[in-house]
Amino acid sequence: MIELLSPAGDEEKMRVAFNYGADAVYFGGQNYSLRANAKNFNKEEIKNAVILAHELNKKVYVTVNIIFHDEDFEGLEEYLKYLDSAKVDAIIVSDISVMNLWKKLNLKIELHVSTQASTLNKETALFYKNLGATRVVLAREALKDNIKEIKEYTGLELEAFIHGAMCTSISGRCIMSNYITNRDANRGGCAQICRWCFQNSEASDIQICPKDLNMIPNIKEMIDVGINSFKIEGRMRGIYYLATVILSYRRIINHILNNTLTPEISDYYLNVLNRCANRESTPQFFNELPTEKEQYYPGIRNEYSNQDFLGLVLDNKDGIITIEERNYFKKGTMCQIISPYNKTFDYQINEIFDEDMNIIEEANHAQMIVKIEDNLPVHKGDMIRLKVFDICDDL
Amino acid sequence: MLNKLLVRINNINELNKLKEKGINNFLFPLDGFSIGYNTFKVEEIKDLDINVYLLVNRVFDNETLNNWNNIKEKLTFAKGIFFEDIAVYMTTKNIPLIWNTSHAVISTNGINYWLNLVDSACFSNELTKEEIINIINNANKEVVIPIYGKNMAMYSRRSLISNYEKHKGITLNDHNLTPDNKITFKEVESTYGTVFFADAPFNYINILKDINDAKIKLYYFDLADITPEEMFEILNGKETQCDNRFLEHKTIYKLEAKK
Repeated sequence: MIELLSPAGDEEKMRVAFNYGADAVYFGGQNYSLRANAKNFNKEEIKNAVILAHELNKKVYVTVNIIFHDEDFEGLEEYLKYLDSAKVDAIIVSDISVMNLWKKLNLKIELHVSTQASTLNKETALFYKNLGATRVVLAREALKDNIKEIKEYTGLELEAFIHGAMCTSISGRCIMSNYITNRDANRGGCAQICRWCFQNSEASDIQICPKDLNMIPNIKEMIDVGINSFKIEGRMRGIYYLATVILSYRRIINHILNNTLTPEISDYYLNVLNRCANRESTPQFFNELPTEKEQYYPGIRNEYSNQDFLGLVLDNKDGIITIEERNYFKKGTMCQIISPYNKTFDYQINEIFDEDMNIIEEANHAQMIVKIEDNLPVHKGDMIRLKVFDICDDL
Repeated sequence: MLNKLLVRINNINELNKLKEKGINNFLFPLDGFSIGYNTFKVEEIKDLDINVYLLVNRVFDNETLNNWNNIKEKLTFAKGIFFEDIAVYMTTKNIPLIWNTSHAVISTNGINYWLNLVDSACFSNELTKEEIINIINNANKEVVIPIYGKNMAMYSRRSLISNYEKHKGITLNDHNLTPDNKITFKEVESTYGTVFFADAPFNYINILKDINDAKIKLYYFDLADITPEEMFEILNGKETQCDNRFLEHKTIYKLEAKK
């Protein structure tokens, strides 16, 4: 089983993830999740998310992955029972007491062990299997040989992060946020202190945080050593990022399964992914321990946001395409249209109309509704981006 | 209390001074399996006439696990092993085990789960005084509580500072780092990764009067960077500069709670 697993910060993002090729999504409920300040899903939304996912033959996993203090257990049993009754496919858990409660309640919902549990060896994985877990989300620090051995020893489903932000620490082993901001890192309050500049008596620009993860070049090997679920980080990310990342990995995985992946295609998606995030990304761990090259330093590349995401297609009817603008574009702009249904294609915007079909020169207000008139194979939910790279994917 | 005191020392020379004062329980970070501290080889500690406890605080990969399987039979002299990684529990028989996973030993439920499997559990530091007292009172067995030391605030598999040094082409001699000019972390790096310790020690001596001693297996005193003489002064009530933030204030769970 090969699964592409996407974050879903809210229902819209979940729909985008499924539309662009995710096989499953994960998100948190209103409590007990490590993104305490994300929108997250209430109980009704969880139930509806599961209904939608199952209609599409896809899955929903809910994070219950904080490390619990005594006061946090209130309502947990009822919540787990609710998730079970809502037919959520699995809970993602790091605290042993939650795993124990799950076992005592004899729930049908599957247990996945969170990356916060930092599983890097076969005996620890076996412990969780004996407890009833069907899947372990490996520590981000896992190397290829470790993964292979864990798979062979336990037969567990293995899930690994392939894209997104990385913890500087081994996940769960950091409380710098607790010290600096009083926000509990292991209960969803991480303030990302590791991304701050540190100083001492000799230097004022000491940075310790890693670049983001990007495993495009390693997906085939990851499949070969036994990874089943390929996980993307980023419950707080926007829909363009999500669509681009999901679509890129979906197509890479499809190429691998069809034995059609070429180095050119791989490089193309590497470039696309590096462009859509505001931080540089690179493979980490898996083949070797990270070096100085996988770390950020001031002045090398500051974080920035580009304006590549030009618009979201709302409708295509009778040759009139309705677009919600996201970033400035004008008559003559060269763009590309990405779609889960079609090959990405170049397109030059020759005419722009307002909502009443009056010709305008530019789309210059955030979320303004504009139209273009052309016979294009585009669908609701397709996205328009600025052309930066030549397309290199035959699907 | 001295008979329940467990002391982590930095070098073997400190041992005699402490033994003379009646302390007989010592914690030794085990070479190859421990990070952040001066470590000790089996040969250095196996024949000491004291209660030897071992600190095994690395997250194990399979290679470390293999090394562990090769050494564990030689560790039967130990009175107990403080373990971070569950692999130690899975592979180690005939030696008492103390659950000591960083930042995880913070709830009655979690602690009692492990107390059903192993001999004891050593509390993490991110607990308020009320939580400590409550968990001790509800624990199924005797537990270990830290009473003095420097809290490990971060553990990374990366070589964070030497990476920075390589990039800049410099060598840092000062390993005390601050992100905000208020709190300083002491960085310690080895081939197994990087750890940051909170530079200001915690000192929980003052809460001991409120704790049910019958439920305590060991009081863990980490010498950190003080001398044995200074340790006794602290045990006798000397006030020192310390940081007891977690003891006195709950950390914020949901950010909404702050508003």
